[in-house]
Amino acid sequence: LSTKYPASDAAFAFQPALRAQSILKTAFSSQGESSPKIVAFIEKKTAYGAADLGGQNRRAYPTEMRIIGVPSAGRLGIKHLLHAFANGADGVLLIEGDDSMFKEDKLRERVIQMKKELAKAGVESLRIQSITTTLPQYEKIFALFDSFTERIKKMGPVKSEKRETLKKQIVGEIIAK
Amino acid sequence: MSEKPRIGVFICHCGGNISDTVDVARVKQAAKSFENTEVAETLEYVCSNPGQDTIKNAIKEHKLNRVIVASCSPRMHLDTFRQAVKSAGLNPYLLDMVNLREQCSWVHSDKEKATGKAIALVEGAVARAKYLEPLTPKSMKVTESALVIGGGIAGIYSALELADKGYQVYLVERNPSIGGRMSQLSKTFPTFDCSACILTPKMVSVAQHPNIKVYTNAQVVGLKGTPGNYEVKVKITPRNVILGKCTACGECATKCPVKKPSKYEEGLLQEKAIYIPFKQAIPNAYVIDKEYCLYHTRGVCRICEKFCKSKAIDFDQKDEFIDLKVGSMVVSTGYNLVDPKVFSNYSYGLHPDVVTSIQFERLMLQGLHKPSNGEVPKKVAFLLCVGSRQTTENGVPYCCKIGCMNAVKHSLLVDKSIPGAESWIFYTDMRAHGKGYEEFYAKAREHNVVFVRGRVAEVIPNGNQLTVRSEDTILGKQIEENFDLVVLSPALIPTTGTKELSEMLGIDLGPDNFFLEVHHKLRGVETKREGIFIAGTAQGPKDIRETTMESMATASKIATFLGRGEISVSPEVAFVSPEKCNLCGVCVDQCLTKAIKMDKDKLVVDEISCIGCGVCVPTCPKGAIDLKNSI
Repeated sequence: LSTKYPASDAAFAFQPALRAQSILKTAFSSQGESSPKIVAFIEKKTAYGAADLGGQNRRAYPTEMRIIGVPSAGRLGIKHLLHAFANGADGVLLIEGDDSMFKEDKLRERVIQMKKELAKAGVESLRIQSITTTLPQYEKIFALFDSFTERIKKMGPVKSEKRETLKKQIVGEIIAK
Repeated sequence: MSEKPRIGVFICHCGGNISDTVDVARVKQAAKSFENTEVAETLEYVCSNPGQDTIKNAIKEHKLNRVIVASCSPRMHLDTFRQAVKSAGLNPYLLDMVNLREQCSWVHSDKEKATGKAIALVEGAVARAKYLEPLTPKSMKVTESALVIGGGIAGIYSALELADKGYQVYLVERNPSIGGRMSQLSKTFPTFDCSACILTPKMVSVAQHPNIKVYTNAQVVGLKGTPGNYEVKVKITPRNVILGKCTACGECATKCPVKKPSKYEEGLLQEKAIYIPFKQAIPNAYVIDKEYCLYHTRGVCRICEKFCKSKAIDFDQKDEFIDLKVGSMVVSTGYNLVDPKVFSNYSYGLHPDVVTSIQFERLMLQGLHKPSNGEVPKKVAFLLCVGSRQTTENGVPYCCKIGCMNAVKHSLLVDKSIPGAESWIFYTDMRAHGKGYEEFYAKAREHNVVFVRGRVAEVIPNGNQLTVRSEDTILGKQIEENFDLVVLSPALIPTTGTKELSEMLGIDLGPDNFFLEVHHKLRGVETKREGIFIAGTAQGPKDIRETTMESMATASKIATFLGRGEISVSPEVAFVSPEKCNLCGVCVDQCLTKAIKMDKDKLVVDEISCIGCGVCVPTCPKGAIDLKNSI
């Protein structure tokens, strides 16, 4: 157990898992419903800046796209994607800055692993995509926002029995730890 | 954090920028309903003074311990609000921002959907807020000294700049003298400055500067510590001559019975086994070459010892190891030339009159002659891009950047020193990219220089002469000409030991095997490891002007790094829970900045080096490593 939290609070035993869920609240709020649900994990320095720059230029994109800033796309593990798809995501994007030390090939390597893992639960690999961007190339990621939302809309939502499988998998992992 | 989170949410209108598209009143209403939210307010401008005061008052009034500001991008105002929160007595890291402007109101037009998204964004931040922890930025005292690896022009310039700024500088040079490649050059383009005349005064300044300590015959063999406080192990191989005592009278060299090819003269001349690298060498002292010295190879002789009047020769010297404490370092290890022997079509090594450009520099200074018979050459061919801009096995894909101007310089020097001599330059593209370079090239065209666009196919020894076969791609015809001397411009490659050094220092090499900077344009002299900088041709081919400018930039960066006396870094870094960690070491390999180190029985995260990217976190099979205040 993490010593940072009072042991009496049993919920904190699953602190990392809960934290992952809390972060995903942005995408799956009870009051801000959207369908389909798409999460874009964006590296906080360069890529996030590119998304801001697009905003400054008033480049519109679908409201279904929910951006979550992360220190690096390399911070994301299979855990985040399991949670995302178990809790209602229909698509996940991983966007990294081009000047990041976490290079594109390493990101791809991890994304391929994630896709393999999720495919076991029946989540199609087309629902996950990664990209790298430089700061002025916001059009590149925004074009992806458009096309990716379009693709996910065509694919339809993830089936609820698949989400159940994923939830079981998450619980299994927590118990194993 | 044992106390219950008490969250305050402040939503900004941004003067209509947000409120025109997002129904902020509804967002406020929703925010009030979220768990742990004590207060939710909308304000016209949260970033304004009255707005900041509202936050400060709310913190005091409602005893808030988490603050969420839903306004513009954190890239815009995170620091503003952190300061405001701090002045109200709350830890600045307990603040979070929601990007309602750049990533919501400005990019959506449907008010209903945009409001829904805004509510979701705020809800996410509220849910996240309870995991925020109070943090304090780490700061650490730095050692106000610098190490310069490599004593060429780049190292000399960096060392002088830093020493003038008042830092203690240690200059480590692998050869017996500092000076590097520039000391071998005759003249420099495009101004025909005498290379030695502009370099040697700088070398003397280095030797005499009270803040610079020079170690020659020395190599860095180990690195420990963290940025700002590195511990460097330097190995000094014996020179067999005591530096303080040698007066460089040269008596020993006249008596020494062994001859060897001179490295400084690129093998064109012979010198003794006890030698001085060149006349203006710093330190100005003789040195014994162990590969040739009879005492070292066969255990006899020691004639030099008998004749030395100042008793400066000491055959008992042993390898010496010294430890230096430095805050920062410059890697200026320079370049090598590719060995043209690998390109057998140029007959280099088969005929003595085929020389490299650096050998030609030495020939110029010796008085231009053919190495084979000492005659004065009347017709000289300059072959550019020998190994450069080639994707073949032995070639390199990049441009050597100095070959074109160097050949133009050589051809003008030939024209000047030998009346009636003819120079031919076989080029791929004539690249004259610096200040005054195009004019320099134009000047050569007015002289007795023939420019042929085409790569040379073959150089064939032809008695006393050399036949060069090439194509002229402008005229579209084949050329076969006889020359007295053929000069090759070999590709520039990193100096030997670059790979080992990069592994030791934990910095990256690029695809060209030169040291890699963090950013091509904006962070051109920094490496991925904090406190280690690069200068000169260690980073890639460049000319002297660029090298000196880069060295000064590097010195300036180091002064910035060391100047504050301490370095403070973001506390949002990785940490290890020792009770979960099983020391498998996966994260150590994953770390991009070598911030995680394996101690005896635990993992240690160097908080100065860690950039908080979190790449290590998902790789941990035990979930033992995590980031502070970040997802």
